[in-house]
This record gives sequence, structure tokens and C-alpha cells, in this order.
Amino acid sequence: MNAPNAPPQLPEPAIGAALPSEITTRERRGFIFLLGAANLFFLGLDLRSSWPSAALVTSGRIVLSTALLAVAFVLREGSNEVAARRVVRALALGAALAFGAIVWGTGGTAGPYAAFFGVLPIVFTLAVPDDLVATLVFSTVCGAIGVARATVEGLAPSQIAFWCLAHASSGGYAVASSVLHGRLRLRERRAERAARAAAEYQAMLLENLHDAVIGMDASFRINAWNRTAERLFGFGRQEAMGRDVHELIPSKYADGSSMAEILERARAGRVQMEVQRRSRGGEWLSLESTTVALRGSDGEVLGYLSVNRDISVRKRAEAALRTSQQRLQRILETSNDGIWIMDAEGRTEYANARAAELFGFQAEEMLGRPFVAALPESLRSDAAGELDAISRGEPRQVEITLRRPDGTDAWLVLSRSALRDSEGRVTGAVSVFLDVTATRRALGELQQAQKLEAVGHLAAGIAHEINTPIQFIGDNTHFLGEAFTALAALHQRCRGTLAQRCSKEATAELEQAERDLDVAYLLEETPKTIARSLEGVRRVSTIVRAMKEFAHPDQNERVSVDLNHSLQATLEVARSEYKYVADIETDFGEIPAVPCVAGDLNQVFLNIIVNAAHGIESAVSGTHKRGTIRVTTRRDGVEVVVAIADTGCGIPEAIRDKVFDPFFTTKPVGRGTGQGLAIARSIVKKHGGHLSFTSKVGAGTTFSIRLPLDVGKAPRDSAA
Amino acid sequence: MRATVLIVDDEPNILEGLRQALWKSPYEVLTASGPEEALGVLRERKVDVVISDQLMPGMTGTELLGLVHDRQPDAVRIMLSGHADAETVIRTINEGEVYRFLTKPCDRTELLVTLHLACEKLSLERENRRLLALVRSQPELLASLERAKASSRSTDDRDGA
Repeated sequence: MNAPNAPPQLPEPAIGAALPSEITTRERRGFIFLLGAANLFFLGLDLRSSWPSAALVTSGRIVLSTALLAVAFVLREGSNEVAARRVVRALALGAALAFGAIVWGTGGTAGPYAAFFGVLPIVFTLAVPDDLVATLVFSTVCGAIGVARATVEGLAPSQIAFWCLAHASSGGYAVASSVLHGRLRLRERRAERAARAAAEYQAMLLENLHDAVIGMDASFRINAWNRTAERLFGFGRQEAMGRDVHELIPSKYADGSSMAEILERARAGRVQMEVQRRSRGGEWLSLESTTVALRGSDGEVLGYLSVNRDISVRKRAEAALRTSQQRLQRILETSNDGIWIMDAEGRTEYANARAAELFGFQAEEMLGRPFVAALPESLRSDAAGELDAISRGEPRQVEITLRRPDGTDAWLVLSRSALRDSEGRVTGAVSVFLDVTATRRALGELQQAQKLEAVGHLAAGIAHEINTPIQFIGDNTHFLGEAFTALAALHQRCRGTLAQRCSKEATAELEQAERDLDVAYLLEETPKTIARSLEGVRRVSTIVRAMKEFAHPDQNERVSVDLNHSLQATLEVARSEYKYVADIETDFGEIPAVPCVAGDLNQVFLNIIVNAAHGIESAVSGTHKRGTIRVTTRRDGVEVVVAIADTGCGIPEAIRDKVFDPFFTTKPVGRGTGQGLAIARSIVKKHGGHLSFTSKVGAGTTFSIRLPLDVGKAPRDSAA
Repeated sequence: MRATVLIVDDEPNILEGLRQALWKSPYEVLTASGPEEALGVLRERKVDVVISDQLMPGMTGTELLGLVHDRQPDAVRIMLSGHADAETVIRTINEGEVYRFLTKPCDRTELLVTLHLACEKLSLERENRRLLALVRSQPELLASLERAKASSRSTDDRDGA
């Protein structure tokens, strides 16, 4: 559908041009001069004849010619043509009758005939002015009858010629008059046809116009209503004609004007505006309306023309497009993924809020700037290669690490694809950044948990393996002790017997042998050695038992656990971490068993104890001082509180917010993964508890673990 | 009479260690280095106490103690295992109807106390059974005595008559 903004140009009316009144006047004047000239000619001829009636005829003609001339001068341009013609006809008729009467009176016997046949053609011509053929035939017949009669009466040849000329002059008048009238009628008919065709053409145009055309007179009454208007507004032409346009189709203009105001404005010039008009069914139609004032030649406003184009479909399409664009825009804007669109030169064309946030900018700041400018230092190194890849339209999917403006690291999956125009040329690239930090963290925790589980399994297996040799080492050592006791007793009896019953030499020899072998030392030390071995065995078995209790590799369900016992086992396992730098103080209160996954909770205790040991180690390194790790448990209402306090270096204010962040660590590479406290917090959370700390730089840190006793109040959640 | 203790373990060092732990104790110690060997011993000897390891080739201690229960129902069964997870313990107690579950390493005192209690239980049970049998047999004895007395009286009567 083409939609020209200009209203259709109506063809100029051609009716006026079809009626050339000036030319008609000139021709008529010419004709009358000719007639006068012809009469003067005849006057000359009559003067030469001797027939008295001829002189009278000629006089009559002079009178007639003069009268016609006078009328012709009276009929100046601008007069009503029809009225003029009537005057001419009346004068001509009167003159003819006067002429007939003169001929009658002066012609003798021939007078009546001559009068009748002389006047009749003129009367006929005047009565039937347009029928050229009839006039010619009648004139010829009249002429022929006149000639025949003159011949019969034996008139002189000059008289016959005179009659013939008289009749021919009437015929000539008739011919000229008919030609004139014919031409006039022809021209009028042509003009009428042209006007009719123009009107039909206009009506056709109007009817077939795809726009609703409403014509109004100066008082806004409808005087034109085309078919499209009928169809659009639902009112038939008959219904609409003569009605006030304001009543028939109420309108709401886009700028809030009333229709009266619009029409008022149309007086000054064409008004084009979107408008809503109510149809018969009450539906509001969206239209594009052009209103013009129609003026007469004197500038007076005759009426108005309103051309209305139905733009409902267009409006709906526009609305649908707008909705679609808004939806796309919303998707882009609200996407949780960063979306960054750049042109082939790498300048930012669009960045959504998330993308801007990821890179620490406002979206507006990034627009039009090279993408490199928005990248952090760590990613700028291969920017040239990236730009090259973008201009070649290479897709890319890669995981990147981004140091956020707040200092935290974000893991992003970058997925970039080329934007191409219809001919396949690269016009830019769209990059989507998926923030996988949370996934990475969860994965890290999971890996850590899996590692710990594997280690737990290994520890439990090793513990089993160690238990067997411990069993028989213990048994054997015990047996050795008993055996030695028995042998020592035997030795004592032998010596007694020897002293009583054997010679001094033998006794001295034995004593010498005993001294050589240092038997006294052996007798004294061997039981101690065995006791120490048994103590060692006991310690090994304690450690192994603690390891097993600590690991709990297969336990994923919550069971009631004595936390004091768990803490003891954990301290045992962690001994190597603290034994050179710190002493342990325990203050275990009377606490009820806590429902928990023991292995997980031990992990929390271990992490905190190891951290405490490391904190103390860095505080006391280079000195001979030792720190203290103090572990207390107590009941606090429906909670159990485990506090692990150290006298280490404390946590600086600046990093207190971050100690629970995954992968945050102050320890050297290889010493810590930075996941310990993050995992600890997530484990305590799973138990419905709370992990917090207080710290003073240089004085130490106290971690508090609060665990609920009522498992029902905590969300049950199996350990991942 | 000394109580007989059968120790089953696939680790010879354990067997020897335990044998030494029970040195000078009032028990006769038999050892078997596997379930099959243990079952062989049971066929030949009557034992009072069986101490078995849990993880052994061919058969678990639980299964072995179940078989012991079938073969010699009054023998006291004790488990000595390094695998002391709750599931094993529960299953062993329910299926093998063991008297005690000891974990490795188990010190000598604990072992001796356990054996002492086991033997006490055994002797009580045996005494109980003996007395029960005695009580059951007494009505018959009484009846036979009464019969004997009645016949002798009639004889006396005849003699006296």
C-alpha cells in the first residue's frame, strides 16, 4: 500500500473553457455585418431596376439590416446570450413580417405570393435555426417555386434573377445562421461531454480512492462521502449526506485538538495529522487525515475536504513491531548474562547493564569506545589478536578470569559469534558473558569434598591396616615383658642358689660375666623399655582411632554426636600442625549430643584449628614463645557453642569481609587453597548453624560455631 | 578342666600374638589361620570360646560364627575386628549372635576380662542345663524309687506274711 502524504490532486474543471462567449459575440457581429453588406448590395441592384416594388423591398431590407446592426451593437459581450438571441429572433421576425406586408401591398397580383415565399424561408429559418439541411431544402424549394411563378408570369429575366437572389439571400442567412448555431451547439455538446466525463472521472476517482473522502460545506454539513468512507465508518452515503460531521463521526486528534479546531486550522492551510474517528459500530479507527479548506475564486471558504487513510493495520504492525523490539530490548537489558555487541573495528555498539557491571563501567561509558579500553589489564595482552579474530568473523568460546573492580575474581564463559550483513560481510560481533563463578565455586567445593572423602577413605583403610600390626606388636611386647619378668626372677633364684651352694670362684666368675654384659642395667632398663614400647603402641592406636573417628568417610546422615569427643579426635589428628608452636587448652562443658554429620563437622574443626596453628606460627616465628589454642564448648539455650580461640596474629580489618570468600587466601601457594573457611561456613550453614569470628590484630582470633540442638528447626540436607 | 579357646585370623602374627597374650592364662589355645581350618578344628574338638576376625579370605567372620552357632551351639562367640563400622557390628551381632565385639587393637586386660566373663557365662549355662536336666530327671527317679519301694514293701509284706 503506497501512502503518499500529499492529497490526490483533483483535475481542474474544464466546463468554463467549453463556452467561449466572446468568440460567439464576435462571430455574431461578423455575421450581422455580412448580412448588412449583402442587403446594401441588393439595394444597389434594386436601384437599378425600375420595378417600384423592388425599391420598397430594398427599403425594407435596409430598415431590417440597420435594425439588425443596431441590435448587434447592443449585444455586446457579457450579456445573456439566450436573451440576446430571443431579441434578435423577435426583431428578425418582426422585420420579416413587415417586409411581407410591404410586398403584399405593393406587389399587385404577384404580391401575396412574393410576400409569402419571400418571408416564409426567413420565418422558418428563425423558427428552426439549427436544421441546416431542412433550411437549405426549404429555401431551394421556395426559390424554385418563385422562379417557376416568375417564369409563368413572364417576368423579365432581371426580375427572375432578383427573386432568385432574394431567396438565395434568405438561404444564405439560413445557412450562415445554421452553421453558427451548429457550431455553437457542437461546442456546447463537446463542452458538456467533457464536463460530464470530468465529473464522472472525478466521481470514479473519489469512489475508488482507498482513502475515505469527506466533503463538507462551510457549516460542516457533509456533502461528499465516498465508498471507502461508507465502508470505514459504516454510514451509507444517503445517511451521511447533510449530517453534521461532528455528530456523525466523533474524532480524537493526535494532538488533542477538536475537529472544529482542526477545520479552523485548515483555513490557514493543509492540516495533516493522525486521528481516531468513531465508526458506526463504536470502534475507534486510526486514520491519517488530511484536511483542506475549499475556497471559491474570491477566496471565500466554500467548504472543507477531509481525506482519511486507514492506518489501523499499519498502527497494529507498528505496535507489534514496537512490542517485539521492546521485548528484545528487555531480554537484552534484563539478561543475567553480559551481552556486548561491537562493530568490526571493535568499538562498542551496545553493552547491556550486566556486561557493563561485569567490567565495572556504565553502559553509556562503553558506547563507541574500543572494546580494549573496557578490558582489565590482565586481558589486554591478546587484544590485537582478538580484534583480528573479530574482523575475520571467527567465533570463540573460552573461559576467562576477570578481576572485578571490587577485587574479587569472576569466572566468565565468553561465547562470541560474528554478526554479518545480508551479503555475509562481517559487521561486528556479539559476545555473551556467562558468569560461572558460582558454578566454579560449587565445583571447587565439590572437588574439595571429594578429595576429602577420598582421603577419608584412605585414612580409614590405613587405620584398619595399622590396627592389625598394632594388635600383635602390643601382644608380643606384652609377652616380652612377662617373659623378661620370668627370666629376671629365674636369674634372681640362680644367683641365690649360686651364692649359697657354689664356690667363691664360680660366683666371682658369674659376677664378672654379669658386669661384662651389664646385666644390672638390662634388668633395670628392659622393663622400662617394654613399658615405653607399650606406651608407643597405645599412642599409635589412639591416633589411628582418632583418624578413623575423624574421617567418618561413609557417614552422610545426621546422627547424634558428642562434639567433645569429636573435638578431641580432631585435636589428635591436627597435632602435627600445632605441637611445636602452641599448647592446647580444652574446656569441655556438659553439652548434649548434637545431630550432625560428624565427618563434615570435624572438617570444620580441623580447618579452624589448622588456621589457628598457622596464625600462631606466624606470630611466634623467630621467638621461643608458644601460643595457646583454647577450645571450649558450652550449651547456650537450644544451641551448642564451640569456640576455638588462638593467640595468633589476628585477621587484619581490611580482609575480614573476605575470609569466607572461596579461593581467598593469605597463605603462600601450596599451603592453602583458600577454600577451608568457605567450606566450613557452608557446612555449618547446612547444619542450620552459624560460623562467626572476632579478631584483634596481634592478639588473636576466636571462631565461634553455633549449632542448633533441635534438628527439626534446621533444614535437613545431606552433605554434598 | 581348662576352657578351650579357638582363635581364627588370617594373619599368623595375630594368632601368635594372641597365643602369647594368653600365656599363663587358664585356657587351652587353639588357632586356625582361616575359616576352613577353623571348621576342621570344630569337627574334631569341642571348643568353649571362638574368637574370629571379620575380614578373611573365603568367608567373613560373621558367616563363620553363624556356622559355629550351628555346629556347636553352646560355644561362646566373640568377634575381634579392625573393621568396626556400625553396620558390620550390627550385622554380626544379629546374624552371628556373638557375645562380644572387640576392636583391634585390643589390649590383653580387655581380652582376659572378656574371656573370663565368657567362660563364666558358659559355665553358668552349662550348670543351668545340668540342673534343669536334673530337675527333669528327678520326677522319674522319684517314680522309680516309689515303684521300687512299693515292690519291696509287697515283698516285705509277703516276707512278713
